[in-house]
Amino acid sequence: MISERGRLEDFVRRLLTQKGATVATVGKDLLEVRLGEQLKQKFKRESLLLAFSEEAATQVQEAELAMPGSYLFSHLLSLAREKGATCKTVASEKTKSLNPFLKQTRFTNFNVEIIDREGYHHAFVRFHFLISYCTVDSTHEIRSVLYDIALKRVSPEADGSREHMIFESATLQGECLPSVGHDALLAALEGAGSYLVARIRHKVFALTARGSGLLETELGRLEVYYRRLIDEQHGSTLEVGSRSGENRERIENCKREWQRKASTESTRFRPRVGLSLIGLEEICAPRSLLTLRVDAHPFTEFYGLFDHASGNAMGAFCQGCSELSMLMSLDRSGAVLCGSCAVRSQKES
Amino acid sequence: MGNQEFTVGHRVVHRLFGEGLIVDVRKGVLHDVLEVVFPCGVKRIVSTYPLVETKGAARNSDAQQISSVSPQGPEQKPATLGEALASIAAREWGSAELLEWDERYADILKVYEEGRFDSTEDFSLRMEAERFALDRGFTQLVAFQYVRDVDRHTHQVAACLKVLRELGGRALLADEVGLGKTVEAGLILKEYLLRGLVKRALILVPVSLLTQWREELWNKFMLRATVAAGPDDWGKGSLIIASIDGAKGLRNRERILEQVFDILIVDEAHRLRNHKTVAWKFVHGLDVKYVLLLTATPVQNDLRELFNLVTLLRPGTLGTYRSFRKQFMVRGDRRLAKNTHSLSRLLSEVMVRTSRSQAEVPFTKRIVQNIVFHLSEEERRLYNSVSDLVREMLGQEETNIARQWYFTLLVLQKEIGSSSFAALRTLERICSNPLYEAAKDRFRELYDMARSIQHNSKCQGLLGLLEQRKEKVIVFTQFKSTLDYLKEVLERAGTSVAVFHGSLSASDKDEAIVSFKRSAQVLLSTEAGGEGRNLQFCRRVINYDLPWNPMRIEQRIGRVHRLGQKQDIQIFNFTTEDTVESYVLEILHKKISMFELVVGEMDLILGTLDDKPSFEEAVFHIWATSRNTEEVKRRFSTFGATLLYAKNRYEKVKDLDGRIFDVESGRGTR
Repeated sequence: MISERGRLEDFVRRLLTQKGATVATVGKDLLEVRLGEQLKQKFKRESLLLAFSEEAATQVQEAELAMPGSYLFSHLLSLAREKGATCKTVASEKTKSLNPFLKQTRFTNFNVEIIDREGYHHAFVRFHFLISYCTVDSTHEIRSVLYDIALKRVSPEADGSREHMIFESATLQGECLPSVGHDALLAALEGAGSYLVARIRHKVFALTARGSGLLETELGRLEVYYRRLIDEQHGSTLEVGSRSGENRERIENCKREWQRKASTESTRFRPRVGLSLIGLEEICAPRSLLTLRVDAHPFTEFYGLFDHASGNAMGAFCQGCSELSMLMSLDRSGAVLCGSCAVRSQKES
Repeated sequence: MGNQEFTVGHRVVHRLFGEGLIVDVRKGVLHDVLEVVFPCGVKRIVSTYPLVETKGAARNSDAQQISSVSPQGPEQKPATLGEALASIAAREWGSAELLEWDERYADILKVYEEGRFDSTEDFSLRMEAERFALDRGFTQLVAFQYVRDVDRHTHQVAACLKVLRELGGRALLADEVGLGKTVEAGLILKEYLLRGLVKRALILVPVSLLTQWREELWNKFMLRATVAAGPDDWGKGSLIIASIDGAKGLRNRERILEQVFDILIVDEAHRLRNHKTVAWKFVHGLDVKYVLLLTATPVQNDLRELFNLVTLLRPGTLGTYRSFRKQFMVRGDRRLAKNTHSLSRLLSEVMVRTSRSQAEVPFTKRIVQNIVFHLSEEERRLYNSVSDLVREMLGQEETNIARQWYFTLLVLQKEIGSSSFAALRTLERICSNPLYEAAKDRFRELYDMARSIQHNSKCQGLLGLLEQRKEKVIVFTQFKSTLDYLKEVLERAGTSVAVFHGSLSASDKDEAIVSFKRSAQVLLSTEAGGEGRNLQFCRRVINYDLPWNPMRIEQRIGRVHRLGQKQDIQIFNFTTEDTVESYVLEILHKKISMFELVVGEMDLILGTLDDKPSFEEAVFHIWATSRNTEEVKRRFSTFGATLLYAKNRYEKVKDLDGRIFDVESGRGTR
């Protein structure tokens, strides 16, 4: 298992190498960096000596600490943030063979043969979000959440159909998902954002409840204080008759002040949840659309789907509901159906 | 119970889970499903379960907060993505206001749509960077990622976390002197800004600290602040620094009250100890979410001062003054506290105080060596001639002339105390300026004298000192001309030198520090070198000339003698006989032992004196208006006695605060 410090050192090494520097280990937790032209301009020097532990920085005086919290490290972070908000990846194939499809998909009362195979790339986008829970008490936390989303609705009338697959196979020729258009992408982002908002609701409730609890305590304290203060002023009014007008004014001032302070308190304990998009990744997974045929009469042809990236069958398309299913059966009319469609067909007949 | 209507925001009591707040009600045919937040967590309960409603509807603000819905309404399609997510938040969380959607998403989509993909390695590095930025293994304060030259000290991190987590952003930061209250306040401010909880901040400080605060905020926290002076300045920028005296004035007060600030920071908050003053009333009248009051000495003469400060933060924490007096003040002595443990417990709700003994940081010694030089004959002649001219010109009866000359002469007198080369440039400027036509000949004479001097005695002494020990050393001077002269001489002598001054760009300054850290033996620095740079790897400081302002001297020493310095530090003060600097050193070193004080204490001592005239002006006034050496000595001696009195007074206050706050076997209230 790589330690936190090791991960950090590896990250810095990769980052600086990527930016054209030459990096060498010169001691425990110490890296010597010869900067390339691009970085020389940025750092205004030729080389860096980086320490990844406080001990190393203390032992080697010339070394600069490169750990979270140090200025140099925040400089490196901003260097990393200059690029890399979007990328396109093609998942590698785990298996080219289609044999797993036949093993994983269950055909209850018939056998099949693969008569045709069409390869394509199925494209996904993955949105990377940063969620910041901003509260006044102990629940400070920032975390990153990943969400996978497939742009299924690129062709609204053909969801899940063969046409749809062919449309998406356009990515195979080097085109990319942006061709689906801004609206579709925005809709996908909205879907991902909505999913996230819904998913963290319990956390938000807990924060809100905590805020309400704290607010209640503070308002209670203010109430006790101002009531007592007003009572004291009342007492003074009774004791010193000649100054009663002045005291009454003080009481009114107290009430106004109470109101003001209470309204300030209510803003203090309200939590905020910050949500921001920090990265967008397009992932193309190699898949095969298979044309299958029942190996006996009535020799029905139907379609199946296999994902080469995971090496898993996605299932066969039910001829009743067009959904993918891993359990198929042949009914009396010769249609290949999923479990629920088969039950319905049986009842109807 | 089954017929009861439940509403979001109501409180109910469950037999097993205790009291909880209803955060969602889902309507059903037979019963509703309630989502209730209990102390043990969120639970879903059917409305037919026997629940007891406790306090009826929650407070209006709660209810509004919880039940507010999207302004669009359910049927209307949201116009933007932000609005769409807000409506989801309204449905899922009960409030759209809680969500802050970052609209910068559009930049990423644009890059994507244009097909401008980065490499997978770039992407992976960036995502990893984002995760490191979140890393909580090292510290839970996000602010540390975005500051520079701020060392991480356990007591400061603990103080910040306590203020953020437990005290809800309202605190009296009362660490003992030298433990970095300003850094704590800066970190808290930065933390709130980064988390989006603070958009605008108001920082009130004494006049003498205005520039220091602005520079510290920039140098350490990378925050640009505006120093406000006039009524039109309060709306400018998100961080406003102002003097308390300036802000409380009628002209500015009304304008400030019109503004919305999320956090208020008051440095040297003991100045707000009296509730009858305009300053206290002004601060009490500000409605700000978070308030930080910074003072090492919350109580100076009277426990009421403490009550007043706490009331500014959280009214009612110590009860009303009447109850506070009865419960915590000893009759007959307003300075003494009783029931100290109860008081300490209450104070822990608003106060963070670390004593020097509690802070787990070593405080090393300062070893001071004053080195007195004899001026050469020609240097002495120049020094005396400049001083005579200064006295003569300021002694003139025409006050307008005196005012016209005042600052030029003040600078000239300081420069001649530094080096003849520093004075030379000013004299040259004066000679070519028609404003000074009346005394042109006299200045020309001084200029010729200064130009004829090729070497300064102090510089020879500096070379000798550097030769004795080849250890890193910072040489401070106030003037760039002196710095240039020293650089030339030292380089000629084969000493490796790095220079640091105000005219360098930020990156050149960084480079100078790195060069000093790596290879150079000497860092030649003007006053700008005293601002915010972390130079703890060095332990020797030479004050080549001595500022007349003790705070500037302290800032110089503070660059190396700060939290985290592990070795004793050596300070060399260069002076020459019978000069202003020698008298300044006499009173600061011998009278009040300034070099033995902790960083920050000098400020508190000077704070007990009147702001006007400043220390520097007082020194110059004594020097320029004394008729002979005896008078100079006598008047400096009197000035020294005033400082000593201020120091003793400060010691008493420190002692009193220690007795009040450090209860429970010497431990503070943290």
